[in-house]
Amino acid sequence: MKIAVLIKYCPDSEAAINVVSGKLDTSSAKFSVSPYDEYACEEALKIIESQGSGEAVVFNVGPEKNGKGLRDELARGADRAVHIVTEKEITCPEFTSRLLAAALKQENPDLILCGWKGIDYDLGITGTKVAEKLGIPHVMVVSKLTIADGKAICTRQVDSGDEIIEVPLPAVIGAQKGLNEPRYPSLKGIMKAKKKPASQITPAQLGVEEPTGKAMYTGFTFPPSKSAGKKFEGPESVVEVVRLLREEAKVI
Amino acid sequence: MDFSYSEEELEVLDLVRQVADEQLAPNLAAIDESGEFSRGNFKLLGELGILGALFPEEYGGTDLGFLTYAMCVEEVSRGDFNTGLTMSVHSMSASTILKFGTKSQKEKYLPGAIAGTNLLAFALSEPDYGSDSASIKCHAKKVSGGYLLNGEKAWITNALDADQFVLWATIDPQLGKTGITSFIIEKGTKGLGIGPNEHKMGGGGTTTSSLILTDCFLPNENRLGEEGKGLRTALNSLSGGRIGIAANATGVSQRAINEAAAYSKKRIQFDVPICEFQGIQWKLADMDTKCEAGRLLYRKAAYMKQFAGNDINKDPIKEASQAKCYATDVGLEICSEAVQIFGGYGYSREYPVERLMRYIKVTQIFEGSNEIQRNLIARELLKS
Repeated sequence: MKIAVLIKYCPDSEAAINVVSGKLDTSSAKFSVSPYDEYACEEALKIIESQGSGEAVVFNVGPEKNGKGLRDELARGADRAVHIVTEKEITCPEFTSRLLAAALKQENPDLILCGWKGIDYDLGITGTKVAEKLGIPHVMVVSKLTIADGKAICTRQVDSGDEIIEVPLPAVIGAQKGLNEPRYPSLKGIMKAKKKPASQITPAQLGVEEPTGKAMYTGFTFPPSKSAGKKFEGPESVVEVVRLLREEAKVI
Repeated sequence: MDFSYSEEELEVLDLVRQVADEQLAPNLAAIDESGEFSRGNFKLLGELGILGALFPEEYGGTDLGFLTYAMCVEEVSRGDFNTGLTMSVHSMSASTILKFGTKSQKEKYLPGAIAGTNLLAFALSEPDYGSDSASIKCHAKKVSGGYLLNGEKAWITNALDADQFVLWATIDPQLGKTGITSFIIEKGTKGLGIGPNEHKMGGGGTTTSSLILTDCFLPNENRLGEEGKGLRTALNSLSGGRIGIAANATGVSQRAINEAAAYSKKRIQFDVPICEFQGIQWKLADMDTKCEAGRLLYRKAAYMKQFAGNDINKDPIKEASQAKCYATDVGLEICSEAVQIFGGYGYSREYPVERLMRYIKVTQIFEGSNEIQRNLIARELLKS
């Protein structure tokens, strides 16, 4: 079984993000593979191990530095990497999904796994868009996955219990936390990663152009910092507190 | 010295750092309390290939070289002193087999040692001969087909948990140095008794016991290297072991610095975090500078050890002793200052730094006491 894994390489969950004149500054942030995509890759490795054969191909769209993210997954055990190299980070999911869909068409995987969202922009839409462009089903936020007889049986946790959804393959499955526990790469894996096949392609080679008329990020701001609270002391202040709660805070 | 690490080395270190933070450090307090050796930690290092850094690929190793190996020991020790110590002693014992063993000995013992499925211990010291290792009295009497061992070994790290021991004995006590011979002995061999676990200042995490050999027969195939060449084997292994202990102490020192720096930022006295006081800053600055100096010494020695390869004459004896002696001496100072910065909390077992101070004390004593290291350094420098 050939499994494609779509990964995003983004600032680590503990990275400090700055905003400089309305733009994100990630220059001092440590980057890593988005955790939900790590679940996706682990699941691909587990499926291949349980079936005894198969190929896990990891895909990424983004600048040259993202090659490190792909190599991390090769070190964990993925077999091959496809890097769609762009000059800058692509923040438009429509563009990203067009690129991924074009690259995936060349590969014809039996199953496509991705994180249900990236931990940077939190959009949770790229996997769905890829499925739409390939004309195949998708199930997102999956916390248990069983592959059998050309079908994917997916479990989604909802507030009141579990939903079980069955889709024919190929399909796009978006991993949720709890799907598995991603393994560490081994030292041998790290050393082998460099020797594994990794191809680079450009949007032009895929024949994909940047969409026009798309939604664009125009600015970022931090939430306003909280102003200092007021302190009241002694029983005689109660009247004043009640007055302020009524007139200023307007909560009573 | 070229300390520009390759991308691969940095990725390996990143992995070891992550494993130390996520898997080792959180369990240290529990391991210390339990008093038991953590087989799980040792196996984890084997599974991830971290125990294979010094060994060729044909036995399952990664052959990353001594410098990367020592840096891995530092990172593991920052997470857990005991696991770092075990890694160092085990690797020292296994590399003795790699360097001096026959092909069949290597094939028999190294794959398991690298995979973390069999643990090796190093048995040189005796109750009456520690620093004076040339005078050991454990007797390996030559008999038909092998040797009959009688005697006692003391202070053997992980003795209760080890699967095999690399052990030194003399074929004739009258011969002195030239009688010393090394052997591989399996746990469970008839005539090999293991004493109770010593109650140590450093608490749990590794066991320490004596070995009692009573008419213990070892066939010729268990002899490691040539008869009478054992002291040379031991000393060559020990220089590597000393670099390992320097890295081990550096890891513990770094942990103490990290803990103390973090605490000094959150402990408020006189309305400010105590890290704003110059008295605390100067302590931290000295701790960090000493730690860095020890780190440079062990890395230099490791670098030289790597390039010495199998050439015993190029063994960095002086540099290994300097690294071991310095990194462990400053290690105790650093850990003691970390306890001081934590104040009363530092003395409490609820907080992590008293444990580091208890652990690090032994690094000045074992693998050749720091007094012996100074003798070696002086001997080497007065040679020419």
